[in-house]
Amino acid sequence: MEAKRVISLVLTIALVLGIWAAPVNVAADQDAIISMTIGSTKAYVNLVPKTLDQPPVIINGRTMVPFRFIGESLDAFVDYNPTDKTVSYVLEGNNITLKIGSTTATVNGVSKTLDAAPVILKTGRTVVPVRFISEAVGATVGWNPTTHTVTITFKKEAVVIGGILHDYNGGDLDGFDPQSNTNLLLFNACRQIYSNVVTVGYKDFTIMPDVAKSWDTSSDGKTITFHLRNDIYFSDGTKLTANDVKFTFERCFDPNGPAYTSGVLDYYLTPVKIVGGQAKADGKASTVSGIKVLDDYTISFTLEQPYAPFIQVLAIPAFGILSEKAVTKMGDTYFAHPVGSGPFYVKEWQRGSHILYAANLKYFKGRPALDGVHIDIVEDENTQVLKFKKGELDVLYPPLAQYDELVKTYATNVYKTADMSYYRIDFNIKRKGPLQDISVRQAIGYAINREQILAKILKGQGYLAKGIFPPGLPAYNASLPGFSYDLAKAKQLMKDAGYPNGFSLEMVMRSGRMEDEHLALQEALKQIGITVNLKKLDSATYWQLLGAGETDIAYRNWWADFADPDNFMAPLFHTGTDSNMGWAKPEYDAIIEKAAKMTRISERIPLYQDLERKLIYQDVVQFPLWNTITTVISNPKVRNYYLHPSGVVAYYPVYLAH
Amino acid sequence: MRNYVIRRLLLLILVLWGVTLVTFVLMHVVPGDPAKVLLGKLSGNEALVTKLQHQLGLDKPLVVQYFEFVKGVLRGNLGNSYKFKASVMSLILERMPATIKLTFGALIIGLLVGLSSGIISAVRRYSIWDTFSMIFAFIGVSMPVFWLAMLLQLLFAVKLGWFHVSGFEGLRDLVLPSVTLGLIYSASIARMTRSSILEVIRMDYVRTARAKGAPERIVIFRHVFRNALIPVVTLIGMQFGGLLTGAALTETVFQIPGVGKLLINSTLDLDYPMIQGGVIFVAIIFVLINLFVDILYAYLDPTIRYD
Repeated sequence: MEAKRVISLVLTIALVLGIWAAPVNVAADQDAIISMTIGSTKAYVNLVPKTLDQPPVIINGRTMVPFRFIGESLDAFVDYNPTDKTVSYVLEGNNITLKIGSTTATVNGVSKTLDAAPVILKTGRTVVPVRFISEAVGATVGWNPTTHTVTITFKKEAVVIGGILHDYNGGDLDGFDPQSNTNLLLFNACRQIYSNVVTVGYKDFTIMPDVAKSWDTSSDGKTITFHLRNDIYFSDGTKLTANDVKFTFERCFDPNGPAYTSGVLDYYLTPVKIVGGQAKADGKASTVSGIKVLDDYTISFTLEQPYAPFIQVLAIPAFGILSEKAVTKMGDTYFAHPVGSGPFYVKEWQRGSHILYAANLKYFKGRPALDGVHIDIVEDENTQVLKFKKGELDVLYPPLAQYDELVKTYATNVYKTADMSYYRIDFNIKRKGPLQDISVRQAIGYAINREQILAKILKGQGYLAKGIFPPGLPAYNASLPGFSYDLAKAKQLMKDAGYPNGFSLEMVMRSGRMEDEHLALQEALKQIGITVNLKKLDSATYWQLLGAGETDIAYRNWWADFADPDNFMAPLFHTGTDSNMGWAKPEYDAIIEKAAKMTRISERIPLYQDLERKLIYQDVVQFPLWNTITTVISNPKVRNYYLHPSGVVAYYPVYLAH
Repeated sequence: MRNYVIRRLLLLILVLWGVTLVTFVLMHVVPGDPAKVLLGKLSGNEALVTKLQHQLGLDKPLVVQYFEFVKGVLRGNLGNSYKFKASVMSLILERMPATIKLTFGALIIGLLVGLSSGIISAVRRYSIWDTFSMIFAFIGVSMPVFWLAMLLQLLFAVKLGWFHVSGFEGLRDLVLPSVTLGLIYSASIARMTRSSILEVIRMDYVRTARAKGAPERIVIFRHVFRNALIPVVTLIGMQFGGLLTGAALTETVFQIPGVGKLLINSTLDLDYPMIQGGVIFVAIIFVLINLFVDILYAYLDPTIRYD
């Protein structure tokens, strides 16, 4: 409401100033000045006040500063490796790794000695000696003895304009119609060529203005009015107006349109309950009455009831704003001739070979630094690796089979990010059999050595999950007890349930997808006498069997489309979704619906956390395994290739250093 | 001869009809519903399945579906791919240039290496050349194509830097995939050439040619080679067809937008129009190549008559 409006206004002003200040409006352009005071939780980054959860401290006469805070303020990739007890930064091609409790650190592969070892304090935060870390990244340190203030000044390198980034896709795209699919390949394409009403940050899910410069919500929380920018053009030269926004969303409800069968409508818009949406989807209305164009640059959406994540839904790449004129003109061939208003446009597309995106020089936030992005379609993992080694690709997501070697060879250019993902075992509770016994489901959980699977198969790319919500999501609950590998307990539970000799179960899997993990789970359950019959299937049969509940267990995952707990609860546990093999509870449905209608996140979180505890610890509906990490290796020239927790990378901030 | 060709071309229509009928039956016997495949995770939603089946025309009786398909083919319309939405014909044609280039590249390498090593090892039987080329052929026949491809990529692209690892932009990018496929095919050509020559070389007319004092070169190339070619030509014809339709692995490894990958994927996606179109395409190619091979027989061996 009022506060929201002010925030959007501030963001808008910042945005406008950014454009005036430099031709390329990317975060990396700005120098960073961090100032902190010993013992104080107040800090400033470029004069913007910040609150520290760990203030700087003096230990043995050395000033120690919080590692993560400094890194994030400088825009570095910050990583903590719990197995090796190391913390690291990657910043502008420099890789700095420190070991907790050790005075030896590595800077770009060379060992250096510190005058004090990094320590983890009671707050759980790592602190490191300020002088060392600043100098390692190329920053200067200032010290004011009267105020006890440390100032770290970091001059960022200038963004280089020009060049082509060489990236790749592991498969072929069907086309560029954002409403035609919900897979990562299409989302990635859409992120480059379209603008949304609002968008998300490059590294997280922070909502930022895009086509809309501000918005306000009515007092009943049901009508949201967006004020659009009036300086946005599509790549065909036509101006983007509120009518295009209306057209984009109405098309999602068209029973003969692509969104109707692609999941875009079902997954993302049906839960929003826009007034008149269902009528249009049922063919009873030609327009959606809840979407109103107030003038060329103002549009309002009216919902049947408040829906907390509504704004976040609008940032999903599937809702890239379409040009009404272009879509109408191209008709059935639009997918091959997309017209957007994003930082890039599709210059060439050859199925099975490559996509070439070219910079949109008239992009309303300023042209991208890159001249273009060349995406090779490389299905074969070996070819991906060889192409990267040869320099034909600038980035590589190291395949598991060659992970160790690659990460070692290119150690100074390894970047990681925690995904907004949740991997788990689904139990088919509705099917008659031993799984209906809760002790059996618990026994299965205790029989799985998750640390080992994470380390050996996934190469440490993940965190053990304690519940449904991954770290970083509002509602993530660090205080859940979690599970540990306990074979004796698992065997006891099986015995108590009356299955001392075990039984056999069916488990479906898609051929070629996560096969090693499936085999490891099969091995794990063998230890408590459960024989898992793995059924290797093609995708279609796999989804059919899961949908019909014709398997006992399944190893599955969920990646968030937006950072709201509702995006985990509704799709995974509400009646009527395709997940969980038909299991649901009406009382839980009521909680999920109620929480989605509430607007204050602080009031919603307890509801979600309580429900999470019930589902995982009381009903044992699923066994949580891990939240994954994505790793990418890049050519040392590549800057700002930010991995996003959704898996969708934005090329807009990327540039290639000299 | 002309009558024969016309008869064979008329037969093509019958073959195509048979092939489409068999494919159509097989597609519908194999479990799976294209609508559900397209819906993926949403395939549990019955209303959507019904809706999509209707959109794709899958709710019509099978007989009607088949006749609509045949009607389309007669009008030159193979329908639209479920997955790509584009017309099947355009999808196949779009990928033909790459496939044709790769096929001819592979064929040239295959013939050069295969024929020469086959001839040498037959003429210099039990020599070091024979042993060497037969070991080579043995390796070529047994080596998986993707493995050879990877070795070539590693040596010539990554280590020596002569070529791109993958991609299909210039003629230079044709070299590694052509050599990969060519070497694999040359192995069987070499073996076939060798055994065929050894068979012919024992013939009476070869002895006669030698007896009348013809130089060895003439004996080998005019009398032996030409007669020995018939089984080799058959083999090459079959390989040619195979290359035009199914170099999917090589295409994947070298990132070539060819037909093979398209056809393989269409079966995995249960993309009925694409499968049908692909099968018709493959059938036409094979019938035409067989016809060409048969005509070549008559040229190579004047005792073969078709009229």
